[in-house]
Amino acid sequence: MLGRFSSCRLVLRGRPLWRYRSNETRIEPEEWESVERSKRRENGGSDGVDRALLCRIIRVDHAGEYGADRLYAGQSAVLGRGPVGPIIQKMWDEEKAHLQTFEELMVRHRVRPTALLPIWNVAGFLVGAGTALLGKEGAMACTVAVEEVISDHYNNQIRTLMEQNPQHYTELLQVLKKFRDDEMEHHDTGLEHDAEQAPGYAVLKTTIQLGCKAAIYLSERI
Amino acid sequence: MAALARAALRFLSRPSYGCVAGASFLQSSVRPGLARGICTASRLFGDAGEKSDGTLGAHSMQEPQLENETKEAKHEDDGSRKTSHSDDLEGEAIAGEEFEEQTKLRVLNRALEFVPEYGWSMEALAEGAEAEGLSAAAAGMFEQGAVELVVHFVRECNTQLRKQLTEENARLQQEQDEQRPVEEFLRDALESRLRMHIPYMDRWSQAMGLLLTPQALPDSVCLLTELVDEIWFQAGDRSTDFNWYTRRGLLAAIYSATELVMIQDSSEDYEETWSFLEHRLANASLATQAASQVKQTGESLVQGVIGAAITVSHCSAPNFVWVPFHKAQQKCVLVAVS
Repeated sequence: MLGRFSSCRLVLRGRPLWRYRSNETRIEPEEWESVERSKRRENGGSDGVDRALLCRIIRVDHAGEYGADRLYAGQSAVLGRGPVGPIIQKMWDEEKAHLQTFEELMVRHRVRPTALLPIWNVAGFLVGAGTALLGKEGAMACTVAVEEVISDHYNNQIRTLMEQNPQHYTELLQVLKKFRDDEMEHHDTGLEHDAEQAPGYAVLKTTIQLGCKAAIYLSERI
Repeated sequence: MAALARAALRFLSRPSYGCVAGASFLQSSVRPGLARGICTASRLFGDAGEKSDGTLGAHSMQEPQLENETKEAKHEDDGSRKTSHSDDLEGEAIAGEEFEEQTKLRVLNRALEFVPEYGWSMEALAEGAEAEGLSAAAAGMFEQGAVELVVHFVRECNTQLRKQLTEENARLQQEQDEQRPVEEFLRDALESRLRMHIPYMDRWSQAMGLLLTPQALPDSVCLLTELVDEIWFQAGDRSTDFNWYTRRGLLAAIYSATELVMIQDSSEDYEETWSFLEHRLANASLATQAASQVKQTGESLVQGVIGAAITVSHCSAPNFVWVPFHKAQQKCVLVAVS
């Protein structure tokens, strides 16, 4: 029977039909690409936007800006009347603007906020106030640590979106690039104002950065 | 006969329908089973063949000689032929998947008509498949069985509600009418959503049970979340903090409770259910008012405490004064004086 039909290419995915047993769902490596493409098309929706990725990005960035807002609130509560008060206030106002942007994006794309917001509310304020009690250098060290993690995080997100399909995410990419530049500016401001002279700078920086990375990991998922 | 055989071979080359054909083959004796399978295949692929002639034509039995020639002609560039071949196959695989999706949808929609009689079960799916002109064994393509039917129905209800609410909001915006109070909007949205269950009310408890099975639980939770999110969004909620969760959680709890009440409600036009719904919404709004009052009181208290602390710190800032306490030895002691 196969001899009669061998000339008419009974194939499925490039393999002869007789090799393809019904219980065999193994896909050869050269077929992975086409399977991945069709899966991405499934997830992409009608306009090629990966909705799961978009939701994750907006959720975690909103959580990050919310935490930064509370951090600067804590620092301002302790050092607001001191000599670095105006600098902290300026950085705080910029973070508030970032938060507002992400809130608008969240509403527009119908993204749910992270469920851990009350925790970031309290934790952000406590970390800000706590480091500010170590003095102006402590507050600046905290700023440097947090802004470094956030800049890296924004860079990773920009890279992910560029790898996917930059045309579908132009607005988001613009926002992320601008915010990344703002955060790097805050990082440099912190360094200028003697962050490295804070007591236990290395330990403080490492601890705060670990906490930030854990917060990012959790906010993406929860 | 040649056309039927061609259709049968195309039919058998697709694994999912291969199983179905195999099942129908085994169910009865060889000849009627084979004939029924081939007839079904020819009906299934009657329009598919006409629609996607380009991709399926490559596998036609009619032109083996032409294919041999093309094979020899392109013998050199195997690589590019393989890529274009895999692209063709991918295109065909996707067209096949879409066709399967559409067939599933047709069977599901038709099966809903048989639910009042057969319940949410494989029998209803089999009846639906037969009503659509397929074999009853085509119901085997629903691996999760009756659960898929219930999930499909709930999804359709949610879609219909979304359309209804969007149209209503668009109409309100056009006529520039005032936005209705939120509680009233929620009551109407939940009522119209629950009314969609009325045709299947006798069997709805079975459906609710099916939605709680482990295989359906992720889907049913997702669908409930989408439902309450949609209702709140259309009601005008734009919160981005924890209120997002409290509001939706509250509405989901009210919806579930009302659904349960509706199952055992025997009043005229489910009046008891709608009054239950109104009372629960009123309680919820009282609770949220109380919560916001508590929050305001709490904030005022905190501000009061901070103010008191600042006042005390200003008033009793100690001034240190040297006070002589031993005239002979001329000793002084530092004393704090407020």
